[in-house]
Amino acid sequence: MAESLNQVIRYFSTYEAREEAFREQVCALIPRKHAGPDQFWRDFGTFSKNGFSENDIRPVAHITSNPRDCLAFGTPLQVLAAAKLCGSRVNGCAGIDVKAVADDFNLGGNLSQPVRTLSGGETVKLAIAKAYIAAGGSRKLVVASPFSWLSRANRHCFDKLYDRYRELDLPIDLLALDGEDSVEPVHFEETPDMFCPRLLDFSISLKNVRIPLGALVDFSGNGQPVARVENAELALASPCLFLGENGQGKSLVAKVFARAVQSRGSARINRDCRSGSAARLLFQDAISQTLLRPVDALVDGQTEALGIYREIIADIPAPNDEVASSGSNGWKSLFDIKGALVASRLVGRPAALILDEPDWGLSRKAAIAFVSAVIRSAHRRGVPVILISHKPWWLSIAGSTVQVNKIDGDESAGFGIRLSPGRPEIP
Amino acid sequence: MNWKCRLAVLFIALIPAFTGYPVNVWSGDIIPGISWAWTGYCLLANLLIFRLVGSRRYAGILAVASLITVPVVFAGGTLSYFLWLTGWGADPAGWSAHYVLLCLTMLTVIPLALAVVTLVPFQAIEQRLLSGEAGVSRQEKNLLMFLRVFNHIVYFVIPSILEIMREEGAFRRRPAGSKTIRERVRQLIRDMTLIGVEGICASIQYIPLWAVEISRLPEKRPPQ
Repeated sequence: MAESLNQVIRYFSTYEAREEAFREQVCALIPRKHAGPDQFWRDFGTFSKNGFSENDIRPVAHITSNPRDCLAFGTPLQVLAAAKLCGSRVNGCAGIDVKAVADDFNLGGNLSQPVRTLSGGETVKLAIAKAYIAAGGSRKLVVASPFSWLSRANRHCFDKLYDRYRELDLPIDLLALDGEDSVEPVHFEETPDMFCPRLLDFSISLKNVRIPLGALVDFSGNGQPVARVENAELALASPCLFLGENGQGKSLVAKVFARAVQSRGSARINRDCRSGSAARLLFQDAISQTLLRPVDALVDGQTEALGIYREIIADIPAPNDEVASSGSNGWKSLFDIKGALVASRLVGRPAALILDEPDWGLSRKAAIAFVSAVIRSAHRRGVPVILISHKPWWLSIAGSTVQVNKIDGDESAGFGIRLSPGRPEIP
Repeated sequence: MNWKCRLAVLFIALIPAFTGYPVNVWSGDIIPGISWAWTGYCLLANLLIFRLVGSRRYAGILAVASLITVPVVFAGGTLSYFLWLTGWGADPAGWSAHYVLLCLTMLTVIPLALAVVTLVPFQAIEQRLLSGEAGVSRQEKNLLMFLRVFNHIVYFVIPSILEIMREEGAFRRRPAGSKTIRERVRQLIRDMTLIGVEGICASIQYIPLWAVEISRLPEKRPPQ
C-alpha cells in the first residue's frame, strides 16, 4: 500500500506551487488569498464575471489543504447526504448507506453535531468520508497536503479512501510538499546545531482552566459547550514539544496560553521576571493571521521586528530560493510571512513563543530551516519556544516533551485535556 | 406551538414597529422622546420574545441588541453634541429626544429580528432538503448557499479574526501615555480596515467552491 500511495504523490517545493497545482485541479475556484488582496480580487472577479459552466463542474472529489473548507454543509450528516445526492446524478452512489460509512470512519456519534464544533481529527475524518462517498460520482480524487493534517492514528481512514478509488479504477492526485509525508524525526545532518542547543528552563501552570467553545453568542438555547484543562505544574526546557494526535486539544491549549480565546481559571508560563506575561502564538494558518497585511506592514514601524525578521531569514542554512518562492506582485512567500509574524511576536520578549504546527505550508527542508532559525533567534532573546505538532519530526531536537490527550469531561465540561510530561518512543 | 406559529406571532408583533401604527399615533410622553405607547410596546415585545424563545436564548438576544444599540445611540449623541459645541450642529433640545426614542426603538426591533432568526430551524430545513431522493430546486439551492455563507461568517470568520486580534493584544489596555490620541485614532482606523478587508475576503474565499458543489446537487424531479 505504502509503495503504491507514493506513486500518486506529486511533490512541490513551496506552498505557492502546491496551491497553484490544486487550483488547477479544481478549475481555479479558490481565489489566492496568500498572494495578497489584489490577486485575490482579480481571481474572484474572474469567477464572478465568467461564472461556471457545466464544464467546470466536472466532478472532481477534492479535499482542501484545510479540510474544513471543503465541507459545504452544516452537519456531518448533511455533508455525507449531499455527497451521496451529487453522486446519484450519475447513479454512482446507489446502495451507499451514509450512516454505515459514518460508522466506518468513527463518525457515527457526531452525525448531528454542527461541523463548527467538530475537533480537528473529526473534521479530517469527515472530509475523507465525504470523498469516499463521492467516489461513485467522481472522475478523480485530488487532495492538497494530506500529510500536514493527517496524524498517524488517522492514516487508516486515508488508506480506506485510497483503496476505494483504486477499486473503482479512478485516478488519484495527492499534492504534497517535499518531505511532508516523512515520519522520521529530524536528523543531525539536517540541522546539526539544533542537537546541542542552549536549553532554556521555564515552567507552565494550569489551574481550573475552563474554555467556552463554539459560537460567540449561543442561539441554540442549550448553553455553550465547555472544555476543561486538567490542573498541571510542569518544569520544562525549551525547545519544548507539545505532541498529540489530531483533535486532542493542542491548539486550544496554545490559544489559552496566548490569550487568544477567552477562558476562566489560570494558565501561566513562568520564566524569570516575566512570570505571568502572555505567550505569543504563531497560528497554524499563518495566512489568516496576517489579516492580509504584507510582510512590510507586519514589521512596519518596529525597527527591532525588522531586525529579527532579517536575522531569521539570514539564519536559513539553505539558499532562500530552495525553501521559499518569491511570491507574486510584491507579496512574499508563506515562508517570509511566517518569519515576519514570528519577528513581530519576539519584539516584546514574551513569556514564550508558541508555534502551532510550524511545518504547515512548508516543505520538510523549509520547516526545519524555519524552526531552527526561530529557536536560535528566540533563545538569543531568552524566550522559550513551544512547538505544537502531531508529527514526530521535532522529537529529536526537543529539550522537553509534553503529551496532550483528550480525556473525559465532568459535570462542568463536555471533555477535558490532559498535559502529561514524557516522550513517546521515537519510531 | 410549533415554530411556524411562533414565527407568525413574531411577524404580527413586528407590524407596529414597521408601520408606526398605533405606537406613533397615541400621544402622551413619560419624558421627551419616550412615549407611553413605545414603552409599552417595547416591554410587551420583549416579554413575548422571552416567552417564545426561552430564557437562555433571550439572554443572548438581549446581549446582542444592547451591544448594537449602546454604541450607536451614545456615539450618535456624542457626535451631535460635539457638532453643537463647534457651532455646526443643532441645539441639543432638538435631537436629544430623537436619540432616546432611537434607543427604545432599537431595543424593540433588534430583539424581534433576532428572535425571528433564532426561531427558524435552519439546520432542520437544510437536513430535510438533503435527505430526500427527489433532488433540490433552484430556490432551495440558493437557501443552502445562503446558510453556508452565513454559518461560515458567524462561526468561522468572526471568531478567527477575534482570536487573531486577541492574540495581538488589540483589546488589552495599553500603558497610559504610550500613544497620542492621534496615533490611537490612526491605529483604530487601520485595525478596522484590516478587519473589514480580512472579513470580506475570508467570507467569500470559498464561495466559488461551495457554489459549484451545491449546484451539482440534482435538480428536483416532478413526483411520478
